[in-house]
Order: sequence, then C-alpha cells, then structure tokens
Amino acid sequence: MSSRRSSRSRQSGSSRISDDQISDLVSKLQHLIPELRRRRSDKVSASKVLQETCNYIRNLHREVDDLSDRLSELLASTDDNSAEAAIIRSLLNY
Amino acid sequence: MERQIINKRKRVFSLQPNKNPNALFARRYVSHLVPALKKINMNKSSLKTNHQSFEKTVKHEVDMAFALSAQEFAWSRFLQQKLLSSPHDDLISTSSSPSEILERSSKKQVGEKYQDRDEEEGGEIKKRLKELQKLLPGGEEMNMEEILSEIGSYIVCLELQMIVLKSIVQDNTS
Repeated sequence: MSSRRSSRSRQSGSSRISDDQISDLVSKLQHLIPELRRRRSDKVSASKVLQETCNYIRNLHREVDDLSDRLSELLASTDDNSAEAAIIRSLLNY
Repeated sequence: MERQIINKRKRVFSLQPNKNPNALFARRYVSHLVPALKKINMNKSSLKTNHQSFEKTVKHEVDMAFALSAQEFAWSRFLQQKLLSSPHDDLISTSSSPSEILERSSKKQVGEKYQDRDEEEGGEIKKRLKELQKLLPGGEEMNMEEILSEIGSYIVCLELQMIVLKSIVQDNTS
C-alpha cells in the first residue's frame, strides 16, 4: 500500500477510489470471509481478498439454490406418508 | 423477557431477540418464508404440474423472504424491486455468469476511476472490484463508500439464510 494519501473527493456518485478505501474494504472482508480469517497471519494481497470474496458469495448463492431445490422436493413430496412429510407438515401448520 | 416458543424447532433464537441483529434477520426471514411456503403448499396441485416452474416459484419465495428481511440495507431494497418487477426470472445471479449481466455503460463506475497503483496489481484489483460490484445487488449503482458499508451485511445475511434453510431442510430429511 502506498504511503501517499490520495485525496478523498466527496463528489456525489462514484468518486476516485483512494487507497484507504481499498484497504478498508480489504480488511473488512478479511474478517468476514472464513477462508481469509484462517490465513490472517499471511499477507494476502488485496486482489486475492477480493477474489476470495467473490468466490465466497458465489458459493453462497449456489448453496441457496441447492437448498431451495431441496425445499421444493420436500414440499412436492408431502403427500407421502413418510416421517419427513409429517415433520414439514407440522412446520407449515404451526 | 421470555419469548413464547412457538415451535420447538425454532429454539435457535435467543430469548432476547432484539439485542441480536442476526436473530432479528433470521426471525424475519422465517416469518416471511414460512407463510409463503404454506401458500405454495396449499396451491401445490396446480403448481406441481411443471416441476421446474414449481422450483422457480419456491426459489422466488426464498429470494423474496431474503429481500424483505433486511430492509435497512440498500441491497435488500434493490433486490426486492428486482424481484417484484420480474417475478419468476432467475435474476439473483444464481446461475448467471458475470458475462450475462449487462454492463451499465453510461454511468462512471467505481472501477473505472482507479489509477494509483502499478498497472498489473491495479488492473487486477479493478477487475475484482467490478466482479464484487456485480455480485452485490445494486452494487453497480453504488460508490465505494456504499459498497463498503453494504457488503458486510450482505455476506452475513447470506450466511444466516443458509443456516435457516439448512435447519428447515435438514431437520426434515435426516
């Protein structure tokens, strides 16, 4: 990170991104992303942090899709007399 | 203050939910999702004919519950608007790759003004920032400050959503 401070312009809308803003974002993300929390002792580059964040978000999106599909399957199958069906029926009838 | 435990499976919530913003999100999420699922469940016979559209309907409600449970954040409001305007399209960057998302050409975006670093590192960062912007709902219209303040809540809420969905789904299939 360069030691020189870029001036933070306060114009409305997008403004010139300062190094400070980047490093703020990066350190915030380092705390949030499990993968990066584990590696805090190593120096991780800013672009790596951003990359890991994007991957993490995409993974979360995929998992939600997956869970949503499983949920559809569950709902579709509640006509069965299985134990699972009984449980989800009770969930929906509480 | 004691909370009435409505369903013992919901014991995951703390007894003082107001003190915990995570529990607040989770509670709202469940309170939006479960009635929506009930409705789907009731209308099932007419919906189920096409399995794919049934899945989409469920996904839509999942996304909607998500968007409605964090209204204090811009990404949530943006998501809600998106969902309301195109109810059954897969808009929530789930399966769409970044290349399918349209660039907003006229507005000067966050990445385009970044100049200070080495060409290579700067270029790489710029690229990643743009990617991140695309993943965050409404991100393409936000400046750096806004992204900074919104990204944390977005990630946390995604994780919370995961926990809630897993507890619903896994509770029922173990």
